Amino acid sequence: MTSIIEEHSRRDFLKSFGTSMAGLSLSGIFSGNQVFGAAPASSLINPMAPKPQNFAAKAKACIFLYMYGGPSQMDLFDYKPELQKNDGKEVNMEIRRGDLRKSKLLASKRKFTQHGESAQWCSDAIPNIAKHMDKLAVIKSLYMDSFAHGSANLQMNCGRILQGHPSLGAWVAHGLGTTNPNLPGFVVMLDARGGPIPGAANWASGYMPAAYQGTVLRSKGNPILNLNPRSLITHSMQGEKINTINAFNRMHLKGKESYSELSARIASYDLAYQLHTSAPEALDISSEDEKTKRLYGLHMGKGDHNLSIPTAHFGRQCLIARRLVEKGVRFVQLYSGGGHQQQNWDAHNGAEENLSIHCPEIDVPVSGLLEDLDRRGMLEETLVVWGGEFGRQPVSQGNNGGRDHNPKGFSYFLAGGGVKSGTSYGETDPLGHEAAVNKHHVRDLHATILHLMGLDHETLTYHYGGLDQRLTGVVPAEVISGVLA
Amino acid sequence: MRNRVAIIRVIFCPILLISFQPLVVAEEQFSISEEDRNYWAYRPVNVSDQESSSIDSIVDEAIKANGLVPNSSADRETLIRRAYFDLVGIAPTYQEIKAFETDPSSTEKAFSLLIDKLLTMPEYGERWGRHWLDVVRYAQTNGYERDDEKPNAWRYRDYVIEAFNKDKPYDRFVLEQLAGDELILEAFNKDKPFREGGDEGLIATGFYRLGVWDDEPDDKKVAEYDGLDDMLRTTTETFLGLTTGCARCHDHMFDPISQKDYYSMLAYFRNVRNYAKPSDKGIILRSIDGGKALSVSEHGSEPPETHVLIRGDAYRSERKVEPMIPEIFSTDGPEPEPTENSSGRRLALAKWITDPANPLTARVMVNRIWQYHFGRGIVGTPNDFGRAGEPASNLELLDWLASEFIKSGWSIKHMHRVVMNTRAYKRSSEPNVRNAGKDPGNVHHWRMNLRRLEAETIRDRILQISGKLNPKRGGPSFYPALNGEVVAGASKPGRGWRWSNEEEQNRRSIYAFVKRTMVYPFFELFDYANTEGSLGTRPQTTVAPQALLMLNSEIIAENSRLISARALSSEDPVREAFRIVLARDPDPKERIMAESFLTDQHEKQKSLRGQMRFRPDYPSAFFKDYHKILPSKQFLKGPDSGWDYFKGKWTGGYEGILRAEREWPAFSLFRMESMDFRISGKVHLESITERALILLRARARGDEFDGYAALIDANSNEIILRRYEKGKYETLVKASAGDLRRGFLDFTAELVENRIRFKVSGLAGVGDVNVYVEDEEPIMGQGRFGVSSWGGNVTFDELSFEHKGKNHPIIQIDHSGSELIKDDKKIVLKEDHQMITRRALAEFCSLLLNLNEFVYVD
Repeated sequence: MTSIIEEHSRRDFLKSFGTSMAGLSLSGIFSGNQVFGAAPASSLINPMAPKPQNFAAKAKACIFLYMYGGPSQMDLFDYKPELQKNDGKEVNMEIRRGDLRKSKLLASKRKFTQHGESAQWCSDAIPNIAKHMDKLAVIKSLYMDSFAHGSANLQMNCGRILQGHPSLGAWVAHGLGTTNPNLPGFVVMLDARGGPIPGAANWASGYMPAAYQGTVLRSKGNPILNLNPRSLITHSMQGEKINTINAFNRMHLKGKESYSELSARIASYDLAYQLHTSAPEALDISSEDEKTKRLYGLHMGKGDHNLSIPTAHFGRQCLIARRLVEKGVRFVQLYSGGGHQQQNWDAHNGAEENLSIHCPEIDVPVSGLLEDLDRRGMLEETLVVWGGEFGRQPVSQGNNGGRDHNPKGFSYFLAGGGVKSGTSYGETDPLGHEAAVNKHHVRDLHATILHLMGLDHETLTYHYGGLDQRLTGVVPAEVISGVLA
Repeated sequence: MRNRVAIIRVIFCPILLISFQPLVVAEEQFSISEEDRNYWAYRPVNVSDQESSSIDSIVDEAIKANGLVPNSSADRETLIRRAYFDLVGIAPTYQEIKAFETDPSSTEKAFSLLIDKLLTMPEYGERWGRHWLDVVRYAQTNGYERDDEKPNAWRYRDYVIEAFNKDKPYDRFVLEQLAGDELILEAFNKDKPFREGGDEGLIATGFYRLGVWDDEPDDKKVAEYDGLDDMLRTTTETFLGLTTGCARCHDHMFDPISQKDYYSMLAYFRNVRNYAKPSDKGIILRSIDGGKALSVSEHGSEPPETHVLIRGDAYRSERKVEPMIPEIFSTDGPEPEPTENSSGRRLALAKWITDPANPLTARVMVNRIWQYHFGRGIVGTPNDFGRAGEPASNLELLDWLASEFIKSGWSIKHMHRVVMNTRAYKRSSEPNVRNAGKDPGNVHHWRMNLRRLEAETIRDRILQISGKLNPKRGGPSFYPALNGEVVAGASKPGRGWRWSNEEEQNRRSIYAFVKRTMVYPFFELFDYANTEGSLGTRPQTTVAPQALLMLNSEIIAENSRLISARALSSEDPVREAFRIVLARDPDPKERIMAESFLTDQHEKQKSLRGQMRFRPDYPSAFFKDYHKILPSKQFLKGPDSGWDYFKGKWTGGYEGILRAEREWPAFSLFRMESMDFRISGKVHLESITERALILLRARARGDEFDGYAALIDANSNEIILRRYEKGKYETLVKASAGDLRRGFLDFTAELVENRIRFKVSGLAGVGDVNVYVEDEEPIMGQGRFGVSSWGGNVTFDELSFEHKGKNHPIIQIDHSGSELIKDDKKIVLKEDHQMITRRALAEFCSLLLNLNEFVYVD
């Protein structure tokens, strides 16, 4: 019986359909225009070829856990005794740019304790992450430039509050390429409730070639767009087809070898075929043992709130992120929260309610990821970043104890390769509203992430609009040395 | 970098500097050096040798001087393909090529006539209009959180297409885009009739409104300057090849553009009425004959003052400036003539830009024309003629073209003729090892460059050859169908997107709706323009996702099927397929390869003939409006005739976002009614499929169903029988079954009155698994057989409906779909005898679409 699931491994395919094809095409793609002479300046042959770090750095990959909506720092990591003491007190606070409003302070309902040898504070909203405080460097004094989600997400991801700039993942892909040509270099996984505001602009390549943009990988369903044929053909028929396509293409290539883009295109078909196997393989967690799955919370269902989703969702994504990094993917960004308001960390309509929806969705998965990376020795070479587009206000909003946006002071944590673990860095003011001690703009966070991956934010440039553009812009940025090991 | 005295200086640029520490910088005095003044781009166009020289004489001289050997002319077949690609973006047919090849007149004459013919085709404006849309950052939404639609942006697109088609003089084209509204006022004041229909002038100024616009800016004042910056940068890059953005915060690092120049230029746009919130949309719309146009208007004759902003900070004004062109060009700028409603500033600027004496305008445009003909400009950075850009590879050539352009009355069509009728343009693209070491990049035009088709050209050609291309021109945009996973990336999945009928969806790519936060993947993957700023050259990448798209996407599968149907009607389908797709005959070797591929496919297709696949294609969440308009068939994709499709149950509605319900996925019902059922066959769940449902005696209730379902649950590894009624379900019985994703499983589902039996066999390491139940509260009466799945594809094979002791295979339903069972007695399921042949040929046609030959032009 012929089935559509004839499992040819990649090697089988290459064996049965001719290694010569693979040989030719791979030499075409990996050496780019060096093999066959110069290509026209405008063409970009294999933009994802691996490139060396600017300087030796431990982290080879980054997993960015993006808490879309803006998690509440004073309910999670940024313990503020002054705020706790002054619950309900009226203060004047900047709620939108230049807009001071009289509002009532809202103390956290969460209990804070110190954890581990580093004695870092963490609330009981995330009891499992709290166990890993000795691994984390928590930066509590970040600020950025926008009170609105649209531009704030853009700045957190792409460095500017203006749309049209490449995202951090795209910069990393541009700077380092990928060591595994069978998988995208920059992968994005979304929340089941939808994507973030403003959608794909968050993982865009901006003015750089589209090849650097994030590939949305679905942890369920068809993992990559167009991965499987729409017509009814088997895997081997697809192989046969690609084989014939490239046979025709090689005939066409005769006498035109100096046009290296033609060879690159032949190679791209081999890679496409390999993706059929490699993408589902990366997503197939059936080979993981039960203990590992539980570690990530794959057995855990959803909370009581009707907007919550099962813990297993983010858990699966965290586990897949580890698998992707293992396979050489450079940058993985996972979104917790999608859609609008309480569907993500945007706690206007109740901070406590928001925490009760989202903390259980990520607590075990993030904790599991840190532990799993650590026990496999992968944490050394992987940078884990946690945070959202901004933080939240210490004052109350609405009737249900909500908290409004706050770009003036918020927390991020870093863990893994090159990070000074067990560190609490910087402070907000006593109420948690504004970064006060060792304050850093997000461009410094970006510079630090690049630095930890061996990239210099000043020399990692792309020429556009008459200027050598960089992620951190032209306002001087600095690496936050206080969180470096 | 500009040659200057070294000075300690921290550089800032066009980003918003809201909170940064004051920095100690030693300010320097901006000055223009002799070297600046002598920089080639600011020198007048040199027209001394216009009569005695020609493109070919200049190019040949460069070839000779560099010791290169020029290629000979390409053959006629190549030339006609090249000309079609360049001018109209669609392909010549096999017959057109043959006719051109056998044209008895000389190649020169025949080719010249061909160019004339192509220039009269309306497809010309669609092709060249698209180039222009890249340059002016054309998109139809604002970007950011809501990414709302810019009303009637399509009128600007139509204006551009029309301008190219009627060869609107380029100077006029520029004037209208920059100051069409003021031109009308000027004409009115001087009691002159406006040269063109006044509406065109208004529509043209939509140019200013095409950029990104944040409807919820962090700071309104900063946002206002961002808007002005967008206008200024786009204007100078588009028309002058001058990058000015960097001078927002400091003097330009490379070019003699001071910060004062920047703000003096900005003053030209300072009086444009801006809008701060979506409800002020009226400000950007003006009435025209038959509707409204996206356009600009001014506050009145007295503009607000413009000041230099210290380091670009909107809150730190320095000295006041007047509208003025950069000092490098002149200290004696154009004088605005205000009218009652307008400052006249933009018109003054536009007149300076279109003055034949302007050293940049003509050069920049002829360079763009050259780039789109040769794949590379004489200046490799068409938006940057400054020092940070690439130098002109042949300034004499550039100036010859610029001067010819002005002399022709700024006729773009004239320039096509002048360029395309040269030996330089007609050269073959063959590599030549003798030249490779000296000029591998072909800077000197010793050959033509091999070029890859752009995203739009690939798509348009596919539609053209499948016979589906809808030639409808102009008007509101169509919305290409998006896969569920593409829509899923939006915070309100599908918001702002619509559904266009099939005919609309088959229009040329230039008419596709351009939404900034959701770009049609076909375009995006093939390096479609970044719409956030003026784009002079598209990058060109070669990556595996492009191959996946060409191999596996619906548009390819569907059009391959149509092409194969066309080819099949011929006596020699293989030859016909070659003629349709590649517009040529196969050579003997290719024919052998084709035949062998087809034989193989044919053989393998045989075993697949009974298969039917159902593929859910929706994200887990949908915005309600989009959910509503999206046809049911887009939720679950499966065979066409004989099946009806339903969306399943969606709940929630928080912020307008609906969520798919796992227990009620989208489903399909076979068009056949019966009371009792016996359905058997094979079923396969792909690795990502969580669960397959076989529905029995099912009746649609809105987008849900009542009836029975046999579930194959690969998550819990169980087979289950359920009764669904009025939005609730009850599990009647279930049994554990082992790994259910291991290949095809045999199944039988049987329902007789209230007795239901479900059997699955073929499981690895497990015997048959059987469940049986007698429902105590049965749903009786007639119902239909249906299928559904959650998570991924479900494929059925050898499906068969058994009735009164007879087996009726459900193989391929006759297209009429009408002869199906109606009353338990008649089942007529016609097998399509040509199905396998058609499928094999469709695969072959799809193969041809994937060839390098199809996506590259020599």
